Amino acid sequence: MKYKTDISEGKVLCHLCELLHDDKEHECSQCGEKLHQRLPDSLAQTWGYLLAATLFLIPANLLPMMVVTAMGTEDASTIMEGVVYFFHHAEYGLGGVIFIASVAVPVFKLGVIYYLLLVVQFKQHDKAMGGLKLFHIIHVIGKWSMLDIFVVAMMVSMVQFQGLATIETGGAAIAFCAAVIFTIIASEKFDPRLMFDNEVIKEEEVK
Amino acid sequence: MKHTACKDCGIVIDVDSFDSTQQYSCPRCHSVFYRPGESFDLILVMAITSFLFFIPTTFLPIMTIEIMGQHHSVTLLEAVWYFAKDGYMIIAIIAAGAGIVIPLTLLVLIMMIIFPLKFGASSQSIRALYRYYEHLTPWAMAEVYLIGMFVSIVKLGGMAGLHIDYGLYSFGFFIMAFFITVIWFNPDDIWNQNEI
Repeated sequence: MKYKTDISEGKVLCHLCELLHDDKEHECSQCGEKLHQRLPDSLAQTWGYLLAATLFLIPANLLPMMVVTAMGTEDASTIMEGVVYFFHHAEYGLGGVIFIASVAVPVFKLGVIYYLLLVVQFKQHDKAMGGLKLFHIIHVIGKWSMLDIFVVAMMVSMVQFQGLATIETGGAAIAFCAAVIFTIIASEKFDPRLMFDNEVIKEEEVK
Repeated sequence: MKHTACKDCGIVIDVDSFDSTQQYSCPRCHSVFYRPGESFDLILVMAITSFLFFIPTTFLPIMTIEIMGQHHSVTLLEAVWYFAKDGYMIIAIIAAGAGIVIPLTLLVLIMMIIFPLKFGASSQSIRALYRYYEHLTPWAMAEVYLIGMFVSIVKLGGMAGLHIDYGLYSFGFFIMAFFITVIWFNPDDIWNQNEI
C-alpha cells in the first residue's frame, strides 16, 4: 500500500493544532504557531539533551540523595540504598515503586531514546512501528521519574528537629533532577516522523 | 470533512464525514489524532471545582510529625521550598513549578480559554493562551507529588508518630478534579465552532 505523506504532498502540519498548510507558509493561520515540516534540528537536539541526561545520571546514582543526622551520627544514602532500605523493612510494594520510578524508568527512557535515534540514523524503517509504540510509552511514564525528588522534599521538610534528627538534601538530588528534565526535553525534541520518512519511496522500489 | 496529517508518522489523512464525538486514529500507525472532549460547560464546572479545592491546600498543613513531644508540620509549598533552605534553589523552583505552579497555570488557562469563548469571543483572540497550554502540558506533575507524599508517609511512619492533616485530603481532591478537567478538555475543540 502506498501512502501520501506531508512531504510528498508539499504540505506542512502545525504540530500544535494539527491544521494542514501549504509548505510555503511559515505561521499557522489558526493558532499562530511557527510551522516546521519536521521539528527543527530534531536529531542534533535530541542527541545533545540525551547525552547530557546520561552524564547527569552517573552522579545521581553515586552521590547521596539524603543525609540523615540522628543522635549525632550522619548517614548518607544513595537512590539504591533507599530502595534497599524499603526491602529490608519488608515494604516490598514501596521499594518496588521507588525502584521503578527512580532507577528503572530513567534508564528505560534513555535506552528507548537511544534506540529511536539509532532507528532514524540507520534508516531502519521496518522498526518504525515498534519504535513509535515505545515512544508513546516513554511519554506516559516520563514524569514519574520525578517521584524521588518529591519524596526527598517531604522527608527533608518534615524531619527538622534540631539536635534530635534532621535530614538534608544530598548532591544527587540536583543531578537527578537535571537528568529527568533533560530526558523529558530530549523526548519532546524527538520527531517520530523521522523514523517513517522515505519509507514510501522504499515501498515503491519493492513493487 | 477534515483534512490533516498524522503527527506521529506523517501521512496525509482525509476524513470525509467528520464527527467530533468520535475518536479517530491514523490508518498506518494507529496513533489517535482526534480525541473527543467533553462539553466546555462541564469542563468549566470541573475546573472551578478543582480550583476551589486548591484554595485550602495553600495554607492547610499536609501532615504533622511528632518526635519526643516536639511537633512539626508543613504545607504544600513549604515542603518543596525546603530545597532552597538547603541551598538547592534550582530544585526548589523545578519541584514547586512541576508539582504546583504549572498544574495551577493549566487550570487557569483552561478557564481563561473557555470563558471568553462562552461570551462570544473568537477563537483567534485566545490562540496565544492555547499555545501556552499546549507547551506547558508535559511539565505538570501534581499527581507525582501526591504519590511522593504517600511514599514519604510510609517512610516517616516507621520513624516517628505521624498524622495526616486536611491539606493532604484537599490536595488529593484537587488532583482528582484537575485530572478529570485535563482529560475532558481537548484543546483542539477550540477550533470546532459547534462545540461552543
